[in-house]
Amino acid sequence: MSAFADYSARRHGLLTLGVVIVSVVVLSAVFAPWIAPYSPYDLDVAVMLEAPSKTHWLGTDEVGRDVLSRTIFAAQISVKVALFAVGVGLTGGTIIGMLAAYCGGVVDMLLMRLMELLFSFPAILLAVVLMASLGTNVLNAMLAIGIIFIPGFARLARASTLSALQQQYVEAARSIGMSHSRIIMRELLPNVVTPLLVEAAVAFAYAVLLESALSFLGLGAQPPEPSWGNMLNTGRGFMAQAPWLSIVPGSALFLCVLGFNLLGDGLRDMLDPHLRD
Amino acid sequence: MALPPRDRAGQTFEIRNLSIAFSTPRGDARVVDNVSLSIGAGEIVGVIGESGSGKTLTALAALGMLPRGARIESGSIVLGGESLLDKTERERRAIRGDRMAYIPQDALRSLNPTLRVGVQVGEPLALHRATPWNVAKRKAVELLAAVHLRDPERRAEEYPHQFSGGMQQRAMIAMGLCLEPQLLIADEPTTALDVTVQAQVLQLVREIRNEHRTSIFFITHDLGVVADLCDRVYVMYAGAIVEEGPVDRIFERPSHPYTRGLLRATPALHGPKEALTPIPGQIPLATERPEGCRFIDRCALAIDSCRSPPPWVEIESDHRALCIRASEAEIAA
Repeated sequence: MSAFADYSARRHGLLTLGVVIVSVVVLSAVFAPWIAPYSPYDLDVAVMLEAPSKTHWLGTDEVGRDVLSRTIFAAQISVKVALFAVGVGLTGGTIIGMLAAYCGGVVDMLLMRLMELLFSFPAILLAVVLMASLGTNVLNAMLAIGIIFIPGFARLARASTLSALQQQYVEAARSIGMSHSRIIMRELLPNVVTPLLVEAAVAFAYAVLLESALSFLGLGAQPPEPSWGNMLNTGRGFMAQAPWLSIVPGSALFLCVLGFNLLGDGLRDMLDPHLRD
Repeated sequence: MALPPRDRAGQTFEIRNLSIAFSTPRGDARVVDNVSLSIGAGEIVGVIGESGSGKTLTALAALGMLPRGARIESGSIVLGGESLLDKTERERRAIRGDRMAYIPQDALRSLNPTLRVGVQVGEPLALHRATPWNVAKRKAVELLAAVHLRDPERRAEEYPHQFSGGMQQRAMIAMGLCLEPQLLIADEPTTALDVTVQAQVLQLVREIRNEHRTSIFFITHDLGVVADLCDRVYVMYAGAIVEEGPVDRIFERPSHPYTRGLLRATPALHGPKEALTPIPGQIPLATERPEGCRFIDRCALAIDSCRSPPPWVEIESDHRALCIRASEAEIAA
């Protein structure tokens, strides 16, 4: 087996692993009400801080709620927030980046300076500021994370569009009388979408992480709604007595982020038009 | 400029006194200077010159696709009796790809790598005739067959990277032919190809002319291609046309010292082997052109009167050169 085939087989394995992990997370989110053994909200003071057992596989929290059920339901929030946020970032960023590159000149300058302004703030700080002004709830967390993503996608879309614009097929498209909007949608978009999709998968992982961070800080999902972030925050206080309160949501978060990163890397290889038949 | 631009009534395509300039920090650079040319129906006209002579910009101006910063200072461009420069961008877009088509220099990068070849070849139909996709696709297969691609049905479903260079160039030509344009502008379409493939593409260009009476504006720097393919030729130097005439006349009696230099710098396939003589020096920058004749600094025949603008000298009917010594040049050489 050649070195390249060997490499691509390994890559393929990692992509599969990524797909499996992401599928598990997404399916748990979608089917949470059916697969969770308990309601995520039911208190049972009789079983407070109980270690993992046959009845509560991953133990219970400080008010006797089933940790497994809460972890499964938390996937719902994470996936929902990440989907929406990446959607906002991808759409907004692609439009801004492609327009900047295509129009050039003053439009390019203004749009990209605005993006740099956004980029210059640390992500968490910007999220906290946005949440503080928008109000703390899940919808605003999604918006805030989405806005954070816009500059990254815009830069990538702009760079890809600029290099695509150098290609002769854009000139060829003009020479057959194509309009600007059609050139953007039909000639340029398919050629810039690959890196954007890869970036989206990676951004997905980051969005899950950011949502958890915001919830950990008390700005995202509000208790009693379960989120890996606010579960971790609760677990912090019981690290010695009930380590599973931290380990379980922490592992779920870790696996989810890993899965989306593997998926992103694999997608990049797969969507390369030169490797596609 | 003793003679006005030759009057060729009923020409398919005509450029008259076209000047194009770029603004630069060192003043305006007039990259195309007072160029006039015309192409009749079913005529293949070559425009030959070194890189930087302004031939590509002339073609882009004809298409209405000048790069940012370039502006047309004067002149007119007429296709089928209609003045193109008076039209709006929208009207010109409706003409491009329909009544005039362009075959770019580098076919190997002119097809969109993310779209199937058939879709791209049929695109002008969808664009200009609002043809449904399945009809456009059938037409694309016919066109690919017309440019002699084997197995056109399968090829139409493939992506450009599955094509060889020659096949990509044929696909580009097929796309250009889609709506049977009056005028085909080809910008060095054979430069990036192997010699054998080049010959096939030239044969294809001839077939197109013979079958559709298409007027072809053929840009090249290759004298061999001109000799092989064209009916008439314009020689461009530093933004201006310096000699024009039927191909056989120009090869037989090259009259501008630059044309003679070009011929001497090109190896002959037949006939006695002679040492090639390069033309000394380089094309002057558009901002640093000498007064008078623009070839003066590189010309062995230059005399004092070359410091004032040179006149058009009629060598024989239909053949003329922009050089005061044009009629003596062959004697001197």
